[in-house]
Amino acid sequence: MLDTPELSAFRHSIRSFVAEHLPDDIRQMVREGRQIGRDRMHAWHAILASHGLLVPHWPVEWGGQGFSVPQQLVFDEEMALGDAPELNAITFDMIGPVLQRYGNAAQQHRFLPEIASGQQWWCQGYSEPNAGSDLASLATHAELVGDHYIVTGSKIWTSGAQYADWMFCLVRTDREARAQQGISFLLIDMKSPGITVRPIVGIHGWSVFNEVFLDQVQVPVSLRIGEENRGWTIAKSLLEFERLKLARIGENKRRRARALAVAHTRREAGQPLSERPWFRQRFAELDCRLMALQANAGRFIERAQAGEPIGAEVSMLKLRGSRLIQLWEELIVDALGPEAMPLDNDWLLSHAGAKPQDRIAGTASSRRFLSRGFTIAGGSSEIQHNILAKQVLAL
Amino acid sequence: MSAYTLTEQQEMLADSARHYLSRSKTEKPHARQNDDQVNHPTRWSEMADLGWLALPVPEAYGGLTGSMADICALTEELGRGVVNEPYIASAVLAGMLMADVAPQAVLDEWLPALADGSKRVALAAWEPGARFDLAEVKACAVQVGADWQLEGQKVLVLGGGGADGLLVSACISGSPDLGLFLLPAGGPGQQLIAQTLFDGQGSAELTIHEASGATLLCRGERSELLGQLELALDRTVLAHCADTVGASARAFEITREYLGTRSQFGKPIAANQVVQHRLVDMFVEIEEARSLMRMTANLYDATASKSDPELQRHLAATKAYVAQVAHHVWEESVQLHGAIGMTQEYEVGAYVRRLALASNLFGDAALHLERVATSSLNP
Repeated sequence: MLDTPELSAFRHSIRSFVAEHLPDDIRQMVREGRQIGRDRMHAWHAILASHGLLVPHWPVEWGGQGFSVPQQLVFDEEMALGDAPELNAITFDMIGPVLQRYGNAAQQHRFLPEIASGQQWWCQGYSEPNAGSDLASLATHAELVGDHYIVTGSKIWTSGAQYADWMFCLVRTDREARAQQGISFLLIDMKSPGITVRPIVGIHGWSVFNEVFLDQVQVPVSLRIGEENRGWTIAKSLLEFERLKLARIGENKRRRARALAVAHTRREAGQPLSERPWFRQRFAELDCRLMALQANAGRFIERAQAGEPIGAEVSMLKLRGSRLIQLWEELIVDALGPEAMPLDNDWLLSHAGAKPQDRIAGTASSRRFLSRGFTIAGGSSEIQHNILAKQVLAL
Repeated sequence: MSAYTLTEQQEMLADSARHYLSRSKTEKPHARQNDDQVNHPTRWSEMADLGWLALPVPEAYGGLTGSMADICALTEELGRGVVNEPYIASAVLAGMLMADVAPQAVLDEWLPALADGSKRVALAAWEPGARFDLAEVKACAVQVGADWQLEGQKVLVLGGGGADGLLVSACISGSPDLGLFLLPAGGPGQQLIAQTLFDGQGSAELTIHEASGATLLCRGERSELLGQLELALDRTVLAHCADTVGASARAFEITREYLGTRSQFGKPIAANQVVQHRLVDMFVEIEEARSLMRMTANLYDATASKSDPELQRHLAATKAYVAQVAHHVWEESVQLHGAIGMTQEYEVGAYVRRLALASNLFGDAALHLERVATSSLNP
């Protein structure tokens, strides 16, 4: 996307903001690819919120600045390039906009100010042990008793549930109805009796996602968004710009910067890695893919700016953007060779006598494994292919 | 200004080109193979009538001073229509180079003629055994009185057959300089052997021995003159990328249509998910390639210095990406069609050949990836 002069000035203002206000310890940890934990994340949320930059894409009445789509994407990109942590999309890009669109006044006033202040963490209770990409086959059910739903079932792959204050959740409220009908959208307090969170350790050695068990959890009916049995529509409604964000340009550039750092600090056959033909070809190939992805995202941004619907075609951004991150992570691991082989740095350091690893190398393998999830979560690449095949190419 | 959507004028240009090309399909594209006769004798003058030949020529000489984005809007359609007339070779590569470097008298004489189609030029710059390296110049020019005599051998003279003038790069005898010469076609000492490339477009090999009658267009230090040639090649690569995107898009459409109608095992081939996903991959790559190409064309027009590193990086990335996409699309077009895709007779074959050629013409993906690597890793 070519920056207009206004957008370029905006870009520089965000760049200086991150350079000036991002705490050094967070910057360092993010640059190293480490998980920064809830407390540091909240500290950063507070800084952003005090400058009106936590939810700048929200409408002004809910504490946002009404950023345009290009501004929002430039904002994300500059945050990534300045080594700021990726913000929790589930909280700021999903439940926030869902409340604005489908919540009633009481629900909006109860939740939106607290989310906008950065102190409330949400998780998404969609997937279940037997309902992954096929979300509509979910089995967690809710029975209305008086003015409460009694919810029983389990959710899985719930990112951040171990830190979350609230979960928005799809539950079956009509077992007779066909798959996509009979589902309702509930907001559940994670401190409710009957909720158990079991972190799942991933192949990367990190606990990123969890299992959440719900055993007769009482949820006030006032915490249902929209009508009963109409939750599917809400779950499917991602706002246009959120779907544009799935290109994850900023997150791709973050990985590119790490690959560049490795290229200039490692050697092979008497040369910097940056001079090795195999590395140059692979790096350039990913660079071209990134430029093509960015150009393609730009096309959709223009469409959104012109007020045209962007349609199902936008699935291609998620398809390509998520895969490209994996390819960068692979390149970093391959380039590091033996350096990327030891276990994750934080794990090593928790054991007596361990030697700390190089800062980038220390997390490279874990990050590579973590990125595998990007083509699975949020509609797998195979689902994106199906969407494009059916809805765009009419196959 | 939009970076991706065609302007209203570009849209009109593209529409009229598509309309004209679908109407004027008197010959089938596949019939061109191995046929070095121009089997569309009137098309060049029709292209002039449509204003296409004037598009790259400056207004002062009867042209339209088209931008690269304008030219790409047109060449994308020429690719869709598998047009083999040497529009890119003559109007974009050689013609625009002439406009860049030639002295006033030559401009006055030639440019209006290029714009109205009464004359055509071609570039003779590449030499045998050096791939696409313009810096390999063994041809030599000796000054004899007021005249210049040329010696040497050139290959890949795109659009060379039937051209009225050849632009020839040559060393200047007794000097470290390089020069670019205009050699009127058909003079003494020239041997021009026309050839047809495997996609049907016309090229030629030129052998010159004591060829006289050449006009010096410009001379300069090696780097300076090669810079001029590279500049001309940049525009050409861009226009050719647009052509390749157009051809890729049409090859994809033909393939999709075929798979939707042809039945195997009691259902259309396109009902198989494995086939659907592969079609989606082709589609997505072509969309990305078009976006990148259009962005680069607009960046080209918006950038004052054509040697700007960011522009150069985009040009190399666009060519590398489009070359890879062309390769993928032609291979998949054949594979998904099955045996019919292997035949010269069937429509998709013309696109297969064009895309296969396109992925190597003006340098393959690896060559341009190395340029991207240099801009990223050794800025």
